[in-house]
Amino acid sequence: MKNLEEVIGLYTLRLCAFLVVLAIFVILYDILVQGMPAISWEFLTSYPREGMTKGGIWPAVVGTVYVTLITAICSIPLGVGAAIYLSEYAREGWTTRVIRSSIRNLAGVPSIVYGLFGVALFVEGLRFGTSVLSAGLTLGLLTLPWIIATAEEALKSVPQTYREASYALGATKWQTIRSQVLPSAFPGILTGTILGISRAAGETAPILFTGAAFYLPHLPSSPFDQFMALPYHLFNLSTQHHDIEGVRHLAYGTAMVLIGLVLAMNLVAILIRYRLRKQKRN
Amino acid sequence: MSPTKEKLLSKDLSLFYGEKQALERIHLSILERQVTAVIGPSGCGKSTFLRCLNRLNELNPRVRIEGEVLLDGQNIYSKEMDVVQLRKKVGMVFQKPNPFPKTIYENIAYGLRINGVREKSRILEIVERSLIQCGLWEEVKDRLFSSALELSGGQQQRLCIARAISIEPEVLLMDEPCSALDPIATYRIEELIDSLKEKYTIVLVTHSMQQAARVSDYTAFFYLGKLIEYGPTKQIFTNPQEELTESYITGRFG
Amino acid sequence: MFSKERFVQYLFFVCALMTVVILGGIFIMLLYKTLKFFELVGLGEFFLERIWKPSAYSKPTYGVLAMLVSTLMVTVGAMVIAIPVGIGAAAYLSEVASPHVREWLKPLVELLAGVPSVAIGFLGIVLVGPFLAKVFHLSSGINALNGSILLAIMALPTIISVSEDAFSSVPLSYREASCALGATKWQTIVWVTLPAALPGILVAVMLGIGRAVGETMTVLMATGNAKAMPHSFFDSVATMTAVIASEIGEVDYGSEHYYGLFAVGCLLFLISLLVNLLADYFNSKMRRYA
Repeated sequence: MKNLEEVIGLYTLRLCAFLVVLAIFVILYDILVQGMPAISWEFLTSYPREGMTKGGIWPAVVGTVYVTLITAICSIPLGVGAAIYLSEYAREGWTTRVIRSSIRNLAGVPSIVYGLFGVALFVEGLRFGTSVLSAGLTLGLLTLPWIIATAEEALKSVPQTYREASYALGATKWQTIRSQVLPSAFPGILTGTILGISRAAGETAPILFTGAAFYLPHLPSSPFDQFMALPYHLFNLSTQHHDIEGVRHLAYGTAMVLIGLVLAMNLVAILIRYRLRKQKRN
Repeated sequence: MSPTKEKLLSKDLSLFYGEKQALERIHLSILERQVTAVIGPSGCGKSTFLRCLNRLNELNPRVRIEGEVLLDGQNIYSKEMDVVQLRKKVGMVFQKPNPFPKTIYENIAYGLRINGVREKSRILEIVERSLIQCGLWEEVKDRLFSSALELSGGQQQRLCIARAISIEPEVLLMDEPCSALDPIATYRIEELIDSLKEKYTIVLVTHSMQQAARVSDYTAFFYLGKLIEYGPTKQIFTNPQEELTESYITGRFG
Repeated sequence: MFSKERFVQYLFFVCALMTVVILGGIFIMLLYKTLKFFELVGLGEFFLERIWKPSAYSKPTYGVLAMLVSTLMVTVGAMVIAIPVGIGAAAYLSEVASPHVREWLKPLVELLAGVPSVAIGFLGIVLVGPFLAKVFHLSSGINALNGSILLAIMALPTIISVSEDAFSSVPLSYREASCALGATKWQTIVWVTLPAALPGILVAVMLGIGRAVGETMTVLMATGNAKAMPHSFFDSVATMTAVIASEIGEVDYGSEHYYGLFAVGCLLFLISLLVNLLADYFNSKMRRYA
């Protein structure tokens, strides 16, 4: 009787894990099998044609890379800087508590609310208009708490002895951080940064009304231009297009490229971290 | 001292952590209703040995064991042995008091429930009896339902002993039970050990030679994963046969 | 003299302070626009009127109730699926799985976390929708249930990884004590590890809820976007996030409708803040164990 409970209990847990794995494989399998046939060199490198019923996704690829670059440029220095402050300088006190609490709460703010903020601040307030710049900055804010959290974790995992050794040689705090702490924490920071940026690349809600365009016949030529983006393009092809069924294969192809891009970044980050942990264990 | 029955016997017991060998062919017999102390410098494998006696080392997947441990003549590492049944017969008290983060009552009731005792009145009866046996009843009877974590360290350890004996094991393994306690609490635990040996076979790992001398009937001295010497406690402390043992008990290393 | 050391320290402090400024900025911006909205449209209408009908020709109405209920419904549905499955999978990872299996499963779960929400929404349209229509004999599977299933999938990685942390931070000594009393693995998980990990698991649940409440693209794509009071999980619904996303592109700057969407955003922000504060509260309880 007790044995039966044991067996059923543990198999229930296995079933839960299996369901999760199943979900992952169904997602990846479906996208891969249906998306693969749509992928070709032409699909990747040409403009959409004939009312987006034919052609490729080139401007969306370029737009996503463009906006992600802006996101990275604005969020990485700010995020790593904040992480350095929290890990190396901050003393426990109410200022630090408020900062930490803000970061946790920022991480929980819905992406659509960032979108609203982006509209109010960048599009209207600073008059950047709907543009790559507005969208990139909005995504930058969104990824900031992520980058801070992971970078701080990486900095904290640098052994205290490294710092002590550096101080003992007469180095100042900033010298110690720059020459000992940051290099040791670099792989960890890189992992967190890549994960954060990859998340930004896949986001749609914050760019819906800060700069992404349904269709553009040209690439953005300045930061103040509108742009096409892969996630928004997928959204349009699957819900906004006049012939949704007819462009399904293009939607699958777009989904495949988007997931491929994001997961490739994730995979790189996970692999870096995996190697890092192994090194640490030995 | 009347001759007593052999309760536990470790036969050529070796243990490996991955590649590293932590115990080397330990051959040791433990007599029924006696206190056997296991002493030795830290890292000598005495706690590891203790954990072989209830197969608790198996919680660590890197551990590999060779040899046999016989409980009443039956190999506890054989396929037929149910590890859960084994641990019911061989109770354990740990180095650091580790009550569950629950009430005092629940700490003891837990062991009873997983052993199939369901009636509330019966559980309460055993809780009371176990706490009385451990001399804790008077101190906690008015707060059975407050958190065990509010007790002092010594009280927590006595609660853990009460928890272990509530399911009436045959053997009680104690892994440095006083190392985290002050002298007064230590004294009370030692008294308790003395009274418990009427019913239980006790194996006591300790880093304190004085404690071994005070409470044990037999003593085994471990060094670098090997059993160096075993005999009646009096003999080990007054007339050791091995030079290593003598060096250790006279404080030349350790 | 303003030394370089000092300068660097202030620079980093300003970086850190930016997070407070941003959070405050978001809140003030939302509050400002929401107050503007309440100048134009009454507080009563917002909270008592059921339907959001800003484009009605004669008399537009701005009621948040239907979308609030929709959001809650889809979220509750998602949590009914994701909480048991997530905690179960976390318990498996931490307590049952061999180290080898764990090393494979954990990155896989992280991979799931990385799948963009728009792709999950797409699969809701092409995969889950038709599946639901077939199983339940519906004309369309684009409904609240679809949204719940997708949100469950999206909340799972958060719930699993945070609960797994909670499980594995339970001291080994508890498990040893339980095993030494003759408890089986399952008994130890249910009666010792799970209760000890509970505050951390509640954090996981809260973060999962936060993720589900705030998720936009999946619900926008897969729940049908019908602005009516839902009656069952087979109804099409429009959540708060979906309404904002689908309408803000078309409103005139400074109109009632424009401010109304910010008011919805403000409510959404407050809900997620509340969920976060609850998570914080459970988090502070968790520390006492360690």
